[in-house]
Amino acid sequence: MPVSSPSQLLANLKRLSETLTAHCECDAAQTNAARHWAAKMPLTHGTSIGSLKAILDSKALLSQAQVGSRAGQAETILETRDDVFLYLGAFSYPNTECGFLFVQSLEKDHQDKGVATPFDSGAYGCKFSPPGGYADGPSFVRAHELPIPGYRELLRTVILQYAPSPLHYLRSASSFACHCGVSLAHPFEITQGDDRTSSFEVRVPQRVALQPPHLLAVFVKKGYELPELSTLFALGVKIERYEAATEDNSFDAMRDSCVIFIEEYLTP
Amino acid sequence: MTSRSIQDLDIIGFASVLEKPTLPRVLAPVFEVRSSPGVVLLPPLIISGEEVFNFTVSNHEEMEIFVNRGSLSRLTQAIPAKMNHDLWVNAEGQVAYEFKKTVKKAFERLFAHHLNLARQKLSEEDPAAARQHAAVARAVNPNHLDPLVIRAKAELRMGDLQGFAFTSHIAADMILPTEFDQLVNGQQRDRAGDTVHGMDSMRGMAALKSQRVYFAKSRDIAA
Repeated sequence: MPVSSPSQLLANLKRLSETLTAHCECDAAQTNAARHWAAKMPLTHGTSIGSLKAILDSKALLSQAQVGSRAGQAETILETRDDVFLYLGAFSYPNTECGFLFVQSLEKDHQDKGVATPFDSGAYGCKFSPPGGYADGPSFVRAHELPIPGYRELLRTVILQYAPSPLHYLRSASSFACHCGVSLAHPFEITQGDDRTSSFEVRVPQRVALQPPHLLAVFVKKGYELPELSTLFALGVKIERYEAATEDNSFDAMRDSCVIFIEEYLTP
Repeated sequence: MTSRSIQDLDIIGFASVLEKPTLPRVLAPVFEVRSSPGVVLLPPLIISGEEVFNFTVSNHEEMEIFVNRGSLSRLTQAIPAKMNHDLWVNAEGQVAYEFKKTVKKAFERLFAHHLNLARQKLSEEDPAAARQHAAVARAVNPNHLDPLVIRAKAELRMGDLQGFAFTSHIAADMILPTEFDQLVNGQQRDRAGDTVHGMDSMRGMAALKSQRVYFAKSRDIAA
């Protein structure tokens, strides 16, 4: 992976950038803020408490193919089984209990092989139908694959023109609206789904090393601070511990904790 | 906001995978709607009385993706959902679905049992086992200091200074670092008394609380 060629990725970026239009004019301060947040927005990867020790022992996030796990339908259809999945901004992959936060410099190590989409590609492997004009999920995903870190230009436009403010985008990427307050449709005509269909996804082939300077923080639930985290802690990685009122929505607690962390990280 | 009656739901999985050895915890349930087979409700969600809210509607195909990505597990047999019940896993990796009160009591028993085992293993010079039992105790009661004290002592005996530094960092939520260090090292020097006495561990917490009050008052004054 990626399946799309570099020239296709660039062509997708140019085409999609041209389709986005501003509802209102933006001033210099708004433009600068969007540029800053888009350039620096961290990447996250969520997982379960039960998987954390194995991940820490391997010192890397590994693709399903590298781990040797069974191929899922979506990954098979989209040929993404040998990719590691990351999302822009706070954790948006539900059902996760802990996770890793990387700074944008991670992409420099993978810019020739990684690929981004402005939504969760897996949703179009089996769950949602693509918007009109696309024959199937894979063709929709391929038409939206973008180069990294070049996709951040598109992210800047989305933050500037489709979110009331960068902070609004971070808190709820799927609540598209102009800064004047008018609600807007999804910039890529998606009508179904949750936050994942509005979060940029970055796929990196095979493995992502867990080490500074790219790895900035690990989020873990209070009480489940595995001793294996001490190695990362000693290297200066922040171990952010969150508390959840109930287990049924601990993901929300982790996400809230991550939103606050990113807000502090990105606020000058 | 869409809701579903818990009477119409079966639990078919949970939002976690189980590690070995297992840290006990309450598991977020994955439901299937009994009257609409194939309709799956994923956490995060809110259960209030008989109603379930705020879920993500999904299907078995997407659930399979989550299973393959290591964020969900399937139960071998569906369990009819009930009010005031929790799905939970014990330290042996056994999953059960019981009254919340029963689970709470089970956690209290697990805390006492594994804290005692941790102390025992420490006195038997088996710090690795002591640390594991302390981890179980902390998982079911993360607001108690004693599991961290035993973990720190075990790490010192293992020569794991990196681990000790991390444990001290965790304990800083409850006790001043210097007090924690004294508590651990004081007992480290006195191996005959491996028991972490309640009064000792509470002393640091009181100190921290009084300092927090002091800082809070200072902020008020500054404001």
